[in-house]
Amino acid sequence: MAPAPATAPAEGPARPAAGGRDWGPPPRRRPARPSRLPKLGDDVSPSTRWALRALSVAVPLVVWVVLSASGAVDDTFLPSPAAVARAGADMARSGELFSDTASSVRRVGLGFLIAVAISVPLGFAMGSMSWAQALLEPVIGLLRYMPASAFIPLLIIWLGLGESSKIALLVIGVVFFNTLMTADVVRRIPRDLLEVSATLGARQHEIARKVILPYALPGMIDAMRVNAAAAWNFVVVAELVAATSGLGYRITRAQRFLQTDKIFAVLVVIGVIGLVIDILLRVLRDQVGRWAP
Amino acid sequence: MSDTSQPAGGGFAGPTTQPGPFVQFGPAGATEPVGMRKSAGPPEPAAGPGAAGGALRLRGVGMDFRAGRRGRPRRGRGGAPGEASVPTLADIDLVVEPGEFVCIVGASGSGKSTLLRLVAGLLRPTAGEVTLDGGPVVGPGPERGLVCQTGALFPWRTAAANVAFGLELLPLSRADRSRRVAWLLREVGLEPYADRLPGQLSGGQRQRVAIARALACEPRVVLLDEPFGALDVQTKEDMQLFLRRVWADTGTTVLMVTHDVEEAVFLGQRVVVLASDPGRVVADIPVRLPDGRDLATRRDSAFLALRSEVEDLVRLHHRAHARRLAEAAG
Repeated sequence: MAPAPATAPAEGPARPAAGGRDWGPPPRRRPARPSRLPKLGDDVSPSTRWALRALSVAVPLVVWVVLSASGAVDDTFLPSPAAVARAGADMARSGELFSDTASSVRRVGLGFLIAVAISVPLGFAMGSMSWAQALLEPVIGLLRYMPASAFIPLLIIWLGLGESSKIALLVIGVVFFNTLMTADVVRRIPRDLLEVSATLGARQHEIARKVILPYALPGMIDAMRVNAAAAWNFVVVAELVAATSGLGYRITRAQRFLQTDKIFAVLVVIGVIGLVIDILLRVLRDQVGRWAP
Repeated sequence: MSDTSQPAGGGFAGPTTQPGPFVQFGPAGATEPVGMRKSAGPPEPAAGPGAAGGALRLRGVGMDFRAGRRGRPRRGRGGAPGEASVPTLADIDLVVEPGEFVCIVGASGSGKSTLLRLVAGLLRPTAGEVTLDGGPVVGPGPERGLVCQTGALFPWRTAAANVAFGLELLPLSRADRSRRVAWLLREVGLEPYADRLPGQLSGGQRQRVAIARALACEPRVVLLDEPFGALDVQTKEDMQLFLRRVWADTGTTVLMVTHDVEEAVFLGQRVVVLASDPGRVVADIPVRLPDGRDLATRRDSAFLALRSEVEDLVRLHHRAHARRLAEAAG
């Protein structure tokens, strides 16, 4: 702010504007009322957090119970939680639940591993070398937007109805996203870390192994977590279309006999397994990335 | 950049002090050598530039970012409006003798960081050459340790593991390596923090780790790029005394870039002043202060006079640069 000249003309009733400004002071707002609600960015206490977490599961469950108990919806469309639990117990007793879960999990495991084995090196190269980025990003960016499920007919023509077509679908659904997400993580490494490593005598392959990889590892596991959910989706899709085992196959079977309670039971199992995978990967990430804020 | 002009000649009649003892930091006995050479005291101020066999020599060094790889102007790199339309650095001649502590000051835009990156080998000069012990500098290497303003520590490595990074790349036994790391951590006063991650260290501690890491491979010259620029004033003061002590203990050559003139005069045996448009050396001022510098040195009239002289010089060139930028902007 310039100092007021000695001969500043008085402007308005308030203080004379200084430095040739011919406007008054900006309008003031009344201060915000103090509020007891949590502010943006506030942390909640652990007890509140656990209470909210419990609510987030309990409320939908209660709505489900009330809906089915009130008789507003036909039992065929919305079975009661008790009926679903019974159906699940029946399937568990007959053993089909376990064998279906096992074959689905095996497919996810194999397909996801293949996808990771392809996408991590590709993404690493794209993130750390701009020529690889220029070479691969256009084609992967294009392939990513082709819905993996649309490949199912093609895959069945190419690979038949066996395991390979289902695993191929999983790989297609995961590999492009995971490549691009890995590349993004790798690219985020601060330049000064690379430079300082070079001044400490690190060769290119040593920088890749001892600097870029440990820096990017937590983010890469985060990307895998997101894409594991996608993989789990794709395996069910693949089994819905053509399979003789697996959780998706069990759903189509149940649909044929209008056994909605069975469908619900399988959905619950799918959700719980997905959650377990997510938690495992999150624990792994927190172990690997303990240094990251 | 400070705007408070200091009356030349030292308006403040500070006590003229005898060279005092080094102020010691960290645990007692921190200066005990274990695996590293140690000079008896601070090295003698070397003969002026031009002396034969200089450790680090820049001869006619120029850096023009507008030039392409083969010296031809690069297309599509017109630069931002107001950006200097001249080389970043032109015709830099500089010799740093072994064991010398040289500070480079200059206002922003004088290319002082670029100069340091050229010496580090992170950039190749577009003119002239940089040599170390007679050999040309062609890329980054452990004989020229670098410490930058942020420290650039590896956030997943503990303090000790950060210090060990350069040594891990060398054929050294594990025992040898850990002995060296332990000495360095003791030297920088971080022994109790050896197992802390960078995120658990204060800004000053992080810079100490960065300095120890750069020293681990016993470089011919340590390059410091505004190493204390992000620290608060009190920490900065501690770190300056600490750096003088480490320099005396290790006998290493130090080339430090800073915009803090007081810091440059307090730390350096020579202060090199850069001006902008293009970045060039306008003064190379020997600091004739006793080698045992302590806080009283800062109140010494000779110190104050020198500081004012350098400040005036830097301010003069800073204002000239600002004026040129304003003219270029229209």
